[in-house]
Amino acid sequence: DDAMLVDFLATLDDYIPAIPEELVEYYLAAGGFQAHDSRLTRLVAVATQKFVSEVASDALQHSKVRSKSAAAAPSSGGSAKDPKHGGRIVLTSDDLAAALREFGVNVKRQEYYADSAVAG
Amino acid sequence: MGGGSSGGSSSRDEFGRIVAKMAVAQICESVGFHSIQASAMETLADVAIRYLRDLARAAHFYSNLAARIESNAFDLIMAMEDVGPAPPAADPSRPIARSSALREVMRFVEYSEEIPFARPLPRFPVAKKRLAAPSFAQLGEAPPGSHIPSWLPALPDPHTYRHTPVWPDRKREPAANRLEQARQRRKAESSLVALHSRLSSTASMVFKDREKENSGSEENGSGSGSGNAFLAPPLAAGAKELMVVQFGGFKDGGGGENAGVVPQVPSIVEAFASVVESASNGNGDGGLEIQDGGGGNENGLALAGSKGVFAKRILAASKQQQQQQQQLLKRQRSSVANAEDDKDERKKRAEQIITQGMDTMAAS
Repeated sequence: DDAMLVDFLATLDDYIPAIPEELVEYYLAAGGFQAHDSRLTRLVAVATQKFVSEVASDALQHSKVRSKSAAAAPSSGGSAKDPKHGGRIVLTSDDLAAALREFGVNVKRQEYYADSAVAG
Repeated sequence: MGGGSSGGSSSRDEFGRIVAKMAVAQICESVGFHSIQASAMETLADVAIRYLRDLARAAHFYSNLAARIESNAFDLIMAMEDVGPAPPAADPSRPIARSSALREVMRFVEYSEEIPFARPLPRFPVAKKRLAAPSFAQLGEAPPGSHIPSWLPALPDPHTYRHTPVWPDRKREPAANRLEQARQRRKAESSLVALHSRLSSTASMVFKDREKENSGSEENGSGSGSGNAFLAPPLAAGAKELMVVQFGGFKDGGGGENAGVVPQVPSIVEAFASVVESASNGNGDGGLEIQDGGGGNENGLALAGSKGVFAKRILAASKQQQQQQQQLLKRQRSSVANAEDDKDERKKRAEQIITQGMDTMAAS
């Protein structure tokens, strides 16, 4: 097991995480984490990247489910599914909120903004 | 979701948040999204930053718990378990290397592609180096008063707290300034005179055959090769009737002006030649008179009405030209000119111009 850990840390040397190391180091320093080993910062970056990609893929599933259910409805079948098939899959706040809820993060979005008489 | 920044460090955080937004967007793109809503992106970036901070804090706590100040890998793994989703079966006796969080991360590393960040980043936050005020010892000054040690910063210069009068910086004396001004004025005058004489010399050159005047050697030799303006080649279509002042008409090459340039018959004279011809052949009085303003306007050709008058005029002009040339040479030859010399010459020139004007007036 320890050997596995050591190997894993060795593989981390080659991996370039999506989250840049400077950013990771900045926030680690803000939190008090002092790591003099670059592999640890990369481990942190990889963990965060994994987290974000999990959230994103969950949101993707949600949006696909929603588009399928919208397609199943007879009334707005054509228009709702077209955007997805046109190649524009958009991550919306609703899907994101649904995905984050499973991770324990509660994100509430405003239904509408009452800025002006027109919008509200 | 709270913004991640505590208190007044929002300006430092701004850069970090923007970078996090970029990273998050890249990850989403790799997952399969084509675009992302702005508010969703901000939310996800905030969540990612919060995750990072929580990881750091948790790892720090664990290392402090073990009486260390520097965190190591085990602290980090335990922090990952804390932060991440709860493992299916939390077993405290399991060795740390078998933790599910770690295993998931390993799996992630194995199976996912690398997505390098799009832009190069500097280390941030960048700390500005502040220049410390130099001390007494560094400046080499003796501190005023023996109670002040020399390693303290020096006292500020008196001009920073006391108003001292400012004198204009005189590089040259006023006499030299006046000399310089006089010299420049002289140069301007000489060039004006040269231009003027060239203009009149072309006029005289055009009418050389008609008047049979030997205007002296100031005529340019090759330029008058054509002599008669009517035999000169016509103007090209669209050519401007500008005075092409490019002939070394003077004895000594014009004293610094365009010397040795190929002379040409000025086209403005051609333009006026026919007019003058008609004017001189027709009624003598009617003529057109393009007044050459007394000494100021160097561009005008003074054409008078009748032929005879014109002849006299040209003769006078050419004689004057000679005089002016000689004066010009004299002026150029004199190396140092006092202010008085200058005044004398200016007076002479003024008189000349006046006589010239009077001649014109008397002639017409």
